[in-house]
Amino acid sequence: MKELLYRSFYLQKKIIAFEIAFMSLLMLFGDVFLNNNGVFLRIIPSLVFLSVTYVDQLDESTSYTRVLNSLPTSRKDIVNAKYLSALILYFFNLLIVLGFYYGFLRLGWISDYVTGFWGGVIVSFIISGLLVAISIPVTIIYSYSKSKVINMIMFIMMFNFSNVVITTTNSDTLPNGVGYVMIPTIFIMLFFSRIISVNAYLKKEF
Amino acid sequence: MESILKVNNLSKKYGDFSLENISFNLEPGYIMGFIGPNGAGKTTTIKLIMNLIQKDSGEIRLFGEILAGHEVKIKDRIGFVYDQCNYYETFKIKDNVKLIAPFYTKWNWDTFDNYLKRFKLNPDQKLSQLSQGMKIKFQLAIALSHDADFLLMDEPTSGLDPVFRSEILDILKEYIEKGERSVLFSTHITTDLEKIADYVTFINEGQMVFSTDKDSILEQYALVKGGLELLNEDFKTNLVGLRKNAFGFEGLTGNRDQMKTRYKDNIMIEKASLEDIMVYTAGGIR
Repeated sequence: MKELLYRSFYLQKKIIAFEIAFMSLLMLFGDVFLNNNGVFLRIIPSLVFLSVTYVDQLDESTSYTRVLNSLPTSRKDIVNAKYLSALILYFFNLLIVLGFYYGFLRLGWISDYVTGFWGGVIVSFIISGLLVAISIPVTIIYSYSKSKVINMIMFIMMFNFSNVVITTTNSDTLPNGVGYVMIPTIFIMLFFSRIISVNAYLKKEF
Repeated sequence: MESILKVNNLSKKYGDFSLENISFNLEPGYIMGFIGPNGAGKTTTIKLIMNLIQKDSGEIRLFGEILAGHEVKIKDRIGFVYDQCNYYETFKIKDNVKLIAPFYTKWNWDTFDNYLKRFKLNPDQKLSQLSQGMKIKFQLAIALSHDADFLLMDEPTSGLDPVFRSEILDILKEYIEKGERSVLFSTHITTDLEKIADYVTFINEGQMVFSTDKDSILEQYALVKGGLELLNEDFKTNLVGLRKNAFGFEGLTGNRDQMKTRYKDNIMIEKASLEDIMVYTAGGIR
């Protein structure tokens, strides 16, 4: 598994470097970036989606999948690594945001309470989870050209859908627990998505 | 000692094409050539061995074990070279290898560096800048750098100049020297096999033609030449393939000794090459 994760992050190294630079730059805008309509909650899912689909599309377009499946690893591990690397990337991005959040708090650059910050964290997780839960099986089940189009459409839809999620999970509705209920729902979706992906990948021919 | 590879009644339907009941056995210390015309099913068989596609029926055993449940352990012992270089073309050689090496328990960087030097490959070169022959060299360097017990190669010598083809053959001979490793390679260039193969497996249109030691094949098959008046039905039953021209016929027989005895005075018998055997068998009787 560690070889697969290493491969995944090695391929994404330029994207990850871009992520750090981009997020750091945006953070200069302080609470504009961190508040309830903040940019970060849209940026994190975008970057996670970009990273995950980048590796899959690269593998499919070069037929690297033939090499990958000839190496001493199992198909199940290949699929598991896709989900695990997406989760690690999400938390990596979140860590950057949290780092800035607490850093700014300590420096007194932002007020103690940025409206809807934690709501934004939940929204970013929900959108990232949805994108990953759909895009991975789509890439496995459909051909390279088809999955590219489906993922693109889904990404645009999710970006618009984020407005709905932001509204329902903002600081007013959060105490009602809407956002918190959605977190386990996303984990359940990811669990079933993984089952579908593993089954499809086991039958896939290269 | 256990067989390196044992394929038993392997079948696979693949669109309009079907591979039927392919069986052969490769023991340690030998090189097996895998021949057949385009579309015969060579690549399909190789993909089945590597579990890249699913078989419909039959059994494949590598090092005495089936792949299911032992895939990681088995593939750790296999070096592969494919006809197409499916590595990342926009990446440098060294970057591609960095992604591959951690998968193998016995990966040896020194061996890999030595092969790069031997093949005159620059690790800072991108794969897209390499010729087809250099890409094969790159794949071969990887396949030989993790102490694999079995080398599986799909058309490794096609697109290579005679000098490097000869070098590859020398490398393969060195590779099996200790008698514990084996090589299976598919090729169209049958002259390469005549130089180094111990066994030859021939498939045509998804069907098994033969799988036996090279010397027996070359003894059993022969080219037969004679006048058209000889070509009655009884005579044709001894032929695998036949060509007619204005002066007579030329055919391939799989019963060299029998033909020699029966038609000694009327026909000319010549030694058949593996290429003759492949061409006549694929062409059939026209």
